[in-house]
Amino acid sequence: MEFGPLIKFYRTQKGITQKELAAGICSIPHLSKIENNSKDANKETISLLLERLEVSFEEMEEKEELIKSLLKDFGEKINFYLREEIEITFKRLKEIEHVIPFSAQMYSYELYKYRYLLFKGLLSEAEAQRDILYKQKKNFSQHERYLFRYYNAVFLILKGQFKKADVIFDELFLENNNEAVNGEFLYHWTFVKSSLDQPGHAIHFGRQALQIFMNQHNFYRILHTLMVLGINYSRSSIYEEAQVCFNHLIRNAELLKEERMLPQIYHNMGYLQDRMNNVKDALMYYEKSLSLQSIKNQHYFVTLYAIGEIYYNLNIMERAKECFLLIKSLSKETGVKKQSLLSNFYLIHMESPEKAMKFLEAKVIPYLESAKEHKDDLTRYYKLLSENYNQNGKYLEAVNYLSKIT
Amino acid sequence: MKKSIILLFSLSLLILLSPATKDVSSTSSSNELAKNIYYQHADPIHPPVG
Repeated sequence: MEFGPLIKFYRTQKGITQKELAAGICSIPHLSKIENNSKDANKETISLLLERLEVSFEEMEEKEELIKSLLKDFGEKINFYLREEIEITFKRLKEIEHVIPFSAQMYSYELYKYRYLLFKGLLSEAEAQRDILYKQKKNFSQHERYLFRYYNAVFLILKGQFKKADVIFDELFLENNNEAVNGEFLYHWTFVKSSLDQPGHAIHFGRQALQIFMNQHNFYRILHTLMVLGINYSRSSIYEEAQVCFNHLIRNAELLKEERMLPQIYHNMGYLQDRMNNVKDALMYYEKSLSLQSIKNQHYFVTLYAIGEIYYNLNIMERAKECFLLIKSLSKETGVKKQSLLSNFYLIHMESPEKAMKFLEAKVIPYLESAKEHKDDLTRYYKLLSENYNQNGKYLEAVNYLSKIT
Repeated sequence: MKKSIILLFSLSLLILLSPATKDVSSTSSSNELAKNIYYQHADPIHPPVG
């Protein structure tokens, strides 16, 4: 505990002058030096000064220990994804927040606060906290510097900037001599690889994360990791493994009463069945997922779009149209861009394929190019446009789109 | 220079591989085209980042 600044804090809070506080204990210049941390005072002087301020030395030392143990607890709650329990720990930390700046845990606390805001998905608050921490980073210990960079990578994930996050994970991994750091780190990296559509890497890191979480009996993170693994097994056409993941997930989510995850699991099971060309089952799982979702949830659009696409491919145009029209109207309120644009594309395509191609060029492609994180989608649309121009004998335009595919 | 050679090569390949007769206003072929390329486009849903 930094007692000098702590004494200054309580003295000013109580409206006592340096002369009044120092009287009979030490000289005023001595007190001034203690307060500014430029002189180490002995325990006895500190105790006397604190006593006059009605603050107990022992209590303060206990608080230092309390901060340390609460922060440890806080980190564990985040790692175990315990959403309700973390609030209790955070509340306890908040209660002693006024003494934390005088503690050796000051930066750790601010870093954990940043992590907490990310955990809660409060991005603008997290951004402000990141800026505060950035100004202090030269004072960080090596471990604190590591945490700051790692949390910045988590921040980038939440912002959808997966490539930038990937660079940070790569650097941290290399700096750690290619050692598997911890389950959380591996889970987040798996998440990044999956979002970048790199299923091989996602499976590689996901399996390592799963092993660690299983050893820790970290149930929620086991479910999360199984979900990302299932998605990437599906993408890699390792269907049996994917099926095992999703069946396991359905059983355990029901067991843990994890109702929030069930619609996501059903959606991904639908995604797997879709890839396996089991259209009927895919539709059944997507419908099941949709029935459990709230209409304003962003995932609702993803599932509804998947259903619309299946109907479109089954040539059941009326049902497809219903889905796309619903997305179009709902997205006006919620601002969901990608599914809204694609639904519009299909709707136009039903009326006039030529107009749809123009819409693709004018709206869809610019949106995806500006987002910079939809490389696979872009490739698909470049191909589509190129083929279309080719069919219409416009070879230069066709080649132009082909050359964009890298 | 290298890029223009590749472009020229791609262009000639496209012309060579294009069908001799085609119905440019064919809606059905365009539909099929869209379906083949679009199919299985729907996204999976990822778990929470936490």
